[in-house]
Parts: sequence; structure tokens; C-alpha cells
Amino acid sequence: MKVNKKLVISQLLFVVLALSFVFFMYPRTSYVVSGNVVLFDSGNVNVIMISKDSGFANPIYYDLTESGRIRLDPGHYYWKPINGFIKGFAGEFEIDSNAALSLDRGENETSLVNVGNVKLNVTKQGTSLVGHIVLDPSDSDVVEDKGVYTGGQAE
Amino acid sequence: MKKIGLILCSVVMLLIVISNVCALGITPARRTIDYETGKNSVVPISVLNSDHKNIEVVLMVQGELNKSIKVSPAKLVFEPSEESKTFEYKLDLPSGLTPGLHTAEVVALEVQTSEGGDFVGATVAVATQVHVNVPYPGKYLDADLNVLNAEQGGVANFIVPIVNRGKLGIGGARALIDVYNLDYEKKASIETDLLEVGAKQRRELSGQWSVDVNPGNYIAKVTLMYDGETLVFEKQFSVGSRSLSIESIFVNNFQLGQIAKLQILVENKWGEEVKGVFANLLVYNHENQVMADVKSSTENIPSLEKKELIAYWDTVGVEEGEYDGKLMVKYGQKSSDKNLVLKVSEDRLDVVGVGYAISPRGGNGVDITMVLLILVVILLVVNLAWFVFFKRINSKSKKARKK
Repeated sequence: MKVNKKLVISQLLFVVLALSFVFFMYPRTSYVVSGNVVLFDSGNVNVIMISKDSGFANPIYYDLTESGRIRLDPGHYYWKPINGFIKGFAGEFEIDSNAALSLDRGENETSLVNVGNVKLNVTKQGTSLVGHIVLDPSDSDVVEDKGVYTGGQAE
Repeated sequence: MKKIGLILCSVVMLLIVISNVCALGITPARRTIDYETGKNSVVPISVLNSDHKNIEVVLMVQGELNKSIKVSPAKLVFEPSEESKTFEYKLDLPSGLTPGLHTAEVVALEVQTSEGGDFVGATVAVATQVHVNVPYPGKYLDADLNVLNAEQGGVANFIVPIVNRGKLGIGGARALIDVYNLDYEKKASIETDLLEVGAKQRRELSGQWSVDVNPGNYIAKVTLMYDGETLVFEKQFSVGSRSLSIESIFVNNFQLGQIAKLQILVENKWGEEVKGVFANLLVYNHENQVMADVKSSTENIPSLEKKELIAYWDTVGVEEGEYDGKLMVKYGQKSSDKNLVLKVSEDRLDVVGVGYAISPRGGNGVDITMVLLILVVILLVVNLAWFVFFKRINSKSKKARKK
């Protein structure tokens, strides 16, 4: 009976020590998504593994020692923190897409600018002409200063 | 569609009086919803007034599913102090939609009230798209192909993203990719890994190819096999693509409040001269809006040579601090991009890269699941050892008692 008590105590001790080890060594970080940027607090993490696939089939590894800011295209992402000892549980975040158009009037011409973060398919309505323009983010095109230019995500 | 055109036209003719800049944004640009019978969704959407102007925005629904969407409220009025406003649309999907993709759009149209004259010009509208995927009965895969790092003498990665649009899970999906030149002479065959794909799940199959062909355009014929079904499609890709790489960025004699000269060194890795190359640097403020959009002059870069592109950034009004930036080197329809952080101080501008990908594999560490598994195994072994130990002691003590 005495020996059994020792056994239970030693096993409990082992479990407590093992869990404490995991607790202290576990890579901890928090993040904030702002526009296209994910800002990771480095904590005790030096690498972040990011993938579009929940199975992390083709992940990209980001070094947090330079900067915790990671600029990504819109989409749903899965991530894991790594600190050299342990690769943590998977988390996920979303970079929201933003369709945005700006009409800049200069002295001689008017430009339509894609000020969002996705490729836009722009259609023109409201005049006799109906046209299509495809604009990448931050790209612009000179347009006629008439009608309505409607931008929606391309592809 | 004609009706909507007429409405838009009349709204424009009646209400719009334009100032020099008008900008409008909507986020998210698209919401993709998996169809379930009787499912109603309420989706919040934000309209952005990034120019902080006094504007009115009318919300309209168009497209195939327009009768299934109700927007509330139908009009948003922005004060200059309001950067964004949120509205909701309620999606009440009809039963009996056919399998596949069904769409609609909620359009936000800017209508400005009369402020400065009677000039009627163009206006902008932005749309948030609603994509509803109705699952196919049985098994159905959607697939695409992305080819990464296809450089002569290197190892290219063929990634086949697959989405199961069917109601049933797929036990195993694998792709066979045949590479042909433009004369359809077979150059290589690559087999990807085999993956299970649950219903509505997205996975990525991948395969590698040691590139032993000359730079140029090639065709990848993908044969995707899953549970006895086959999907075949083709996609063209380039080996040794016409690419420019950003080597470095120098800034000398920087003084905050003056015009900074940025020297951007670019290398042409293509076997021909690349014409019409220019650099475009975007600097973002802390609200993630573009606060500077700087372009260099246009240059031609001879084959396998480096050239410096010069761009000037007027830093009047810029405060000390760290700013996110994106440097794009553009040529033709293509662009090489690099994310940056610009550390601005009174007499110094440091430009550092961000989000460096460690390639090809990085970040040593044992998966947490593996760590826990190892602990469980250790516990089992320890228990087993104790068990054996006590059994021996017991048998010894029994023998001793018998004696």
C-alpha cells in the first residue's frame, strides 16, 4: 500500500512537471489584423507559419525577429506559432477584401484609381457607351468624366 | 439590368454635383456562403468614406439572387468626420437552387448633394458580391493550379488547390501533372501527394519538379483523380519568367521635411532587355491609408544587368515614426513587390524589409500535438515499468511466504 502511494505521488509529480514544462515552453503570441497587415506580438515566438490550407500543406514561414508586421493579400489564413522548441496549436484569421474606387479630377483629365486591395472589374453605365476596365490595386486609368463607374472584385 | 442602368443614370443626372476627388470603398468585397436549405444569413458590410467628405450613399441590389437580399438601411449619410458606416443585408435563400455558383451584388453608389456649382460629372459605385455555392450531390471537386519558383535548374512547386463542392467527402485525391512545350511535346510528369478532402473542405495537393528545360512558356495538363472520378484541365506557365528583383534601397542625406532621394537597385534576371520599368512606392499611415504614392522615372534594363531607379519622396508634413510601405517595380502588366517598414527620424530614413519568408523550410519546433503524445507515451511506459516491477515484487514475496 505504501509503495502504491509513492507510485501515485511520483506519477502526479511527473504529470505536473511535464505540464509545467509544456506551459512555460509553449509559444505564445497575440495578433491584430488591420487592413492588409497582421501585427504579431513576438512574445516568445520567433517564427510564424502561415498557410491558406488548414492542413498546412504549403506553408510560408515568417521571421518575427525583424518585424511582427506581415502584409498579406485578402483571404482566409491559418497560422501556427513556433519558438524553436514547440510548434503551437493552429489559429486562423481573415484579411478582409476592400473594393474601393477614387475619381481624381486633374486640370485636363479625370483618372479612375483602384484604392482598394483587390483587382477590380469596373463597368461604366449611365451614358450611351458601356465599357469595362480592369484595375489592379493602386492602378489607374484615364476616363471620361460622365456616367457611373461601378467596381466589383474581379476573378 | 436595363432597369438598373436607367435608375443609375437618372440618379446621376438628378443628384450629382461633383468636387475634384470622390472616393468610395466597401468591405468585404465578396462574401462566399455555402448553401443550406432554409438558411438565413445577416451579413454586416462596411462602406468607407476615406476622403472624409459629406456624402450620401444609396444601396441597391442586383444580380441573379436580387430578390433574396434585403438591405437595411437603403441609404447612408456620411458626415466628414465619419470614415465608415455599417449596414446589413439579409440573405433569405430560396429552396431548390441548382448546384453550382449563384451570385448577386449589393452596390453602394455615391450621390453628392449640391455644394459647389452645377457641374454634372462621373461618379463612382462599389459592389460587395454575394457568392452562394450550392453543393453538388455526391462528389465534386473544383481545382486550380499555381506554379511557384519555376526557374531553370531549380525546383518548381506545383500546387493544386482543391475545394470539395460536393455533399460527400472524398477519400483520396491525387493529381498527375504533365508538362508540355507549346508544340505539345511532353517534357515531364509530376505526381502530387494523396489527400482526403471532407465536404466543403479546401486542401492543397503539391508536387515538385526539377526544372531541366529552357526558359519559356509551357503547358501543364492536370489530371485530377478522386474516388474514381477524373477532372482534367490545362494551364500555361513560364519557366524563368521575365522577372525583375529588387536588390536594395538607399537613401542618402535624408532630412525630414525635405525631398528624399530614394535609389532603388533592380536586377533584370531575364534573358532579354525589359522595357518600361518604373518603381512605385506606397507609404501607409497608421490608419493603413496611402499617405504617399511615389513613382520613379521609366527606364529600360538590359538583360542580366542591374539598374538604379530614382524616386523622390516629399516628406513635408511627415512625422517621425515607423510606417508600412510597399515597393512595386512595374514592367508591362507585371510587378515585383516588396513589403517594407520605413523608420523615419529627423535626419535618417531606414528602409527594412518585412515579413521575410524563410525558405524553403524554417522554424524548428516539435508540433504541440507531438509533444503531448510523447508525454502520454512516457506516462504509459512508466506505468508499464511500475506494473512489471510490482508484479515481480509480488511474485517474489509470494514465493518467500510459501517457503
